[in-house]
Amino acid sequence: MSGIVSYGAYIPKYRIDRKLIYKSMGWLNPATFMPGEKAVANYDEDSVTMAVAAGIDCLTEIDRTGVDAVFFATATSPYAERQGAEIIATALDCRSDIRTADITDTPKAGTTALLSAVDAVKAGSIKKAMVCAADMRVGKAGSAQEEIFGDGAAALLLGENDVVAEYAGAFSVSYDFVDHWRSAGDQFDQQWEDRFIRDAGYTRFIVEATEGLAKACGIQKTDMTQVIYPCLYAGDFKKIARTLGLSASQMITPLLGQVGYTGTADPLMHLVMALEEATPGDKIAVVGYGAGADAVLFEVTEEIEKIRGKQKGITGHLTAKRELKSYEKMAAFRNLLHTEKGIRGENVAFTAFSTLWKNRREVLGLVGSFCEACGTPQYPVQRVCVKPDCGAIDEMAPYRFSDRKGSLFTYTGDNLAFSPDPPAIYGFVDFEGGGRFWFDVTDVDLEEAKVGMPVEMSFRKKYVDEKFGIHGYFWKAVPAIRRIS
Amino acid sequence: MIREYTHELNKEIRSISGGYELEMEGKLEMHGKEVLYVVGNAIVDSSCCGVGGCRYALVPGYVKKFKTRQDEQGLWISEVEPIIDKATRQEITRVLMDKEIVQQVQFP
Amino acid sequence: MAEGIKDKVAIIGMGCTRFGERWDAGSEDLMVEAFKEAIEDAGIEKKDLQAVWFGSCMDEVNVGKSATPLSLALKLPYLPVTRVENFCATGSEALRGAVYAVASGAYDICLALGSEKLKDTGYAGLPEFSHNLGTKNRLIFPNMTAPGGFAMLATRYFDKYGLSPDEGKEILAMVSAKSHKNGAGNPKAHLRKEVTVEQILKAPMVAWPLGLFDCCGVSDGAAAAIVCRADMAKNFRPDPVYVKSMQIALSSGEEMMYTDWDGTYVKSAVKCSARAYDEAGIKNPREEISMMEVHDCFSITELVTYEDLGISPRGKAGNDVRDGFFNLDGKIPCQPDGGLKCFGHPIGASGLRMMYEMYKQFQGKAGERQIEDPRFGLTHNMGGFPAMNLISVNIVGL
Repeated sequence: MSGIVSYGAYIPKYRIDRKLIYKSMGWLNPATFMPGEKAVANYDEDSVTMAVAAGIDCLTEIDRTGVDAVFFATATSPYAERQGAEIIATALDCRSDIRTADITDTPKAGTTALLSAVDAVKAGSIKKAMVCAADMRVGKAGSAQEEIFGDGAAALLLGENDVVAEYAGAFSVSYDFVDHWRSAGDQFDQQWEDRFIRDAGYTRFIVEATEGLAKACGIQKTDMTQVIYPCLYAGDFKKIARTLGLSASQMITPLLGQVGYTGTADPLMHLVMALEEATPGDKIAVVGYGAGADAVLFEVTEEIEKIRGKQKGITGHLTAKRELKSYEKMAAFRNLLHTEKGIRGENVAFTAFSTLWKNRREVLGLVGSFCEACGTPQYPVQRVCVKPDCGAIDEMAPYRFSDRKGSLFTYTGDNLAFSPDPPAIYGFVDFEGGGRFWFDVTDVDLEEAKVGMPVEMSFRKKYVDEKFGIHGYFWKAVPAIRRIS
Repeated sequence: MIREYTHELNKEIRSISGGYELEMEGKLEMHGKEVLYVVGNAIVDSSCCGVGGCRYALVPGYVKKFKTRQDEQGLWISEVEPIIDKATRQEITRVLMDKEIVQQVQFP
Repeated sequence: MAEGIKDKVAIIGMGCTRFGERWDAGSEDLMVEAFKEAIEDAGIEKKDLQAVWFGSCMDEVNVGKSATPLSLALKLPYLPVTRVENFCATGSEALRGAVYAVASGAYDICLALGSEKLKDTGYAGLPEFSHNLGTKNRLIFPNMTAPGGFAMLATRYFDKYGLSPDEGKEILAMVSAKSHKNGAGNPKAHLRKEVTVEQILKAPMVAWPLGLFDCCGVSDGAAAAIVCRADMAKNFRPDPVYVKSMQIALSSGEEMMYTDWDGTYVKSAVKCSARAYDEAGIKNPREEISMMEVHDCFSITELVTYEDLGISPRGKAGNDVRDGFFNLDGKIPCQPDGGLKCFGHPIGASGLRMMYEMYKQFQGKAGERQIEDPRFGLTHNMGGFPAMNLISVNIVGL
């Protein structure tokens, strides 16, 4: 049996009321109004960091040394050349003798990555494969895309043992249907007219793929407990359901009004949401759309009860919210506004990649040292033990801090340090089990921060060197989010 | 607890790293009491670690006796009751940030 | 058997420029200004100098590397000139080099000069830290500033000793107000204006909980000292000042990476001052120290230093502040010249500027700031952050 072994998700904490976007930009294209709110990635987040967050959620209480492959699905990688999957694999502290791949260039990449992982596991060449899908799509100011696009990520672990949702079949159609396109080097997506997209593509390919799926699996559409597909247009979302003959209970409630349309992550985030509520025996179809469509069927097993509640998933992240009260801030975060950083702010020190290579597990994976002579965890990696009575040299073992909880030992809100979202908050984290270091603190208002506040570590974009095109990653402390259970 | 507040506007108070000037005073009503506030501008242009500054507000407290006496330099002094309650502080902060477009609200 | 430095070396001349935004002066001008005063004060000639220590920290924004900038500016005749740097204690480190050289017996007369020109950067401040913390640290250290690094000390201190932010800020304001009052009458200070506690509390936050007046600023300046063997000192002047102790202590890494430190004091200051008192033969600093210049880069640093130096009891420095213990007319006047608050912080010069004030006080030349019959003067110079630092404690006397 092969299929889903674990799942996880991530939704950025910042949420903006769409009315605020419309208030700021609706004068330009009044037809763009959409209700609800959407998730906005913080200035220090991108597709890679969100994928890591979802991946960590998925790997809760799971031995990471067992992961044999990492697939990263995105259409918005910060790099055109520097593999996102490998940055993610290093951040997740996976082994190096694994396979990694970025699957990209269309929102369908999420389900395509899922199928590639499933096929590899089925073929026996990979025992456990990680799939992370994330997108941070940017719409031009005043566009409908700006209203509909939301940021988020999902992660699935595929394997052969302890399967919670068994892979039951798939059907794909592929068409060079140019509803959207973005040339390499362009910041913005462009699209053809909505009617063309809806009538010639959106309402056709999803139907075609789902019909094909039913036939390939030898079942009726009515046997599918839920059919998940992206909601790009509210009316046509329902039209697809009618064409397929789906009942109300087979339809999902899209996260459009709470998160937004998240591109490659969209079908997988809804799949995670479905799995959080699913009962053994449920047959869940998930359809990804873009350049055609993939439809994949899973059947939920008894094992699902065993992992329920371990992750934060969609439910846990939906309620971990922080109101983004300024449209201009969102525009500045997404580089729609040229903001004044000052000479000091723009002067980023060059990244020594040879230093990063030597210390990649330490910097990207937050792996420090554990002194085997005295049992003291310490970060960063040390050769000489920091404990005053110990001082042992070269008696260290690797020790991972990224999945450890901690508490905020002290902090400050700095109005002088350049930050795209002032004040810059940073402080010391004392880790459960031992170890202390200082970190930037993010996703929190200064008034909420307290000495002793429970925190966890989040993989973030620490700096961007625009001159040399370098995105630098490290870990920041965030207020701990409770799990679902 | 009653404290004295000295009214001093339009005077630049400088340190080496920068300075501030209080520009205007106002009062707002909160739960039936009168709250005194002052709006100022600060610039931090020679500190060790960057340039800063802001438009900000100070809230000395509820007015007990407004401009009740003058000091040796002729500056008016009021008696105020500092606002301690956290929820009230948060409410005043929200109102002032909106009304006076300030980036910080302090309760000295 | 090592003996320490007590009474082996004397200071026979000192110079100090006017500190400020010296748009009129470049690095060379500052060095020459400090040097001229020192040489005249010592009554010697340049040819009498045998070795020189030059303190400059942010060389990348003012003079550049090596000791050649000083050697060339002063036209030193092929003397041994060593450049030293140790963050904000660079000035004291330069003095230490000169003093130890004389104490070793290898030289009779040495010069220590610290100089820093920080106002040519274009962005009013020190180079952003990611540039000078090393290639690895810039990948993992938080996006921090000095005010933020010290603000964290204040956050913990208030928390541990049950001070509300308002109470804590008021104590800090009193510390700063006292220094501004002293500096007001000092012609060499950058800022010569009194500021009241109320005015300080009305200033905005810079790095919570530190406000504008809790932070020192950027200035240009230089200071110099000429030292010689103690047994020769009276040949030059009737009132030399003798070095009783020079100690430095550096963080081991415990504060930053181990969980023992409670974040409310500076560990190296405790250890450094203990060694300094031992070296100088001081048993009860609260009774025996007559005056101090401490590193008041931030008011919280000064407050905590009162305790670290063993003068105020732990957690109770605020009481001494309220009692005026450290005022000019108090038991142990602290920052009689106005401190970093009034002079700003030209990094290489500050440690020597502190010693300049002690020196002038012992010679009865402090004018309105004169302290009566001082016995021991202490300078405390700090570099780095509470979590990762170095402390220099120096004690001088007659």
